[in-house]
Amino acid sequence: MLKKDLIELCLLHLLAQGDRYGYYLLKRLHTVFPDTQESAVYALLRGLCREGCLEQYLGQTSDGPARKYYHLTGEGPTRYAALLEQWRALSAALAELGVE
Amino acid sequence: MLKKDYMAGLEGWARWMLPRREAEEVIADYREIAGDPELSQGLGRPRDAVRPLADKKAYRAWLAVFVVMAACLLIPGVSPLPGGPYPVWFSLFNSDGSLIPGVPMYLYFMAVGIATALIWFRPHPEDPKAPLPRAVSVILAAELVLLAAVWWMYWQIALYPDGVFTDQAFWLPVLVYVGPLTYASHILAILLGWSSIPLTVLGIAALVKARTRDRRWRAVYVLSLAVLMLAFAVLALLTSMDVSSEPDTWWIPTCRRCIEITAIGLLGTGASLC
Repeated sequence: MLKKDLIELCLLHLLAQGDRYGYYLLKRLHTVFPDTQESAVYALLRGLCREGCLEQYLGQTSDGPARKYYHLTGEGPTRYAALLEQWRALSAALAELGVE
Repeated sequence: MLKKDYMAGLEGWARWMLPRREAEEVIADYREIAGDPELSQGLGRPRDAVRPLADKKAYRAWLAVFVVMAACLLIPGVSPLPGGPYPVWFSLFNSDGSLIPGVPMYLYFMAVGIATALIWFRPHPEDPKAPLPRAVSVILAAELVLLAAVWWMYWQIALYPDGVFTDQAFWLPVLVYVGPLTYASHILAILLGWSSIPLTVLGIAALVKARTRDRRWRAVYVLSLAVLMLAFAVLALLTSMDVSSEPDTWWIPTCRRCIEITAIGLLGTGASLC
């Protein structure tokens, strides 16, 4: 599992909890992966849209202009489940080796 | 890099690498990201920030189209220059051995270049209406003046062929100040031949602008191509050793060719401005 897959998993996980706007997702991911370029995270987000895992729409916020929201759709839940499965298998394998 | 400089670079690369609508979306998103001091530090160089977003197939298709359009201007444009592909220049106005009988090579370059520019940069109904960029109007006006000047040169040659070929440059008095009268036709040939450099540079720069700014920049490319071909048609007349035409009607084929080039160029330019 590559770092790219981990970031994708995080993005899909956050979106599985509810629709989010792009800036929030980047800001949130920045706290977890501070060494990763924001442009790379943004590219993954757009890639997921292009592959039909996410869709975007303009939504209102209470305190500002309309923002672009992302919504899990189509292939998104399947992709999320597959990545989650990979992550669990990897964690289990590492735990078996005593890696914490 | 300052945010303003960064965004200028990013806008250029986004519009170059991505389809117009996607580019505008990405630029809007990056404006928001670049506004955050924490996030903006991890954006990377503008080109690197845009490259992963580009659909490789679509970007390669655009590069291929750009190369085709640029080649339509570049290949004939450099052909008469020292070291240029001389066979191209030699057969530009010659329909012998042409793929389509009777259709000389310059028409291929014009047809492919203009048709590709018109099709690729065609307007979309959702495009916002915007006034024509001032630079486009100014450059087109300058090119129209150049077009008229080439026609004037042609006309002088057609009216007074002996003047050009027998050392009497009365039709171009300015050349008196440039050098001896005996060099009149040579100087004219040099002027026409070297005009290809600014026209080629301008045409290719206009293609870049049509992609990254306003698609109506294609009009500058189309008119550059037409003026270049017209200049070369007159240059071919000066340098041709064809003596097959009748003494009284020698100018007719060239005149027809010049009218053809001008008509295609002006119609293409008009269509490009729509």
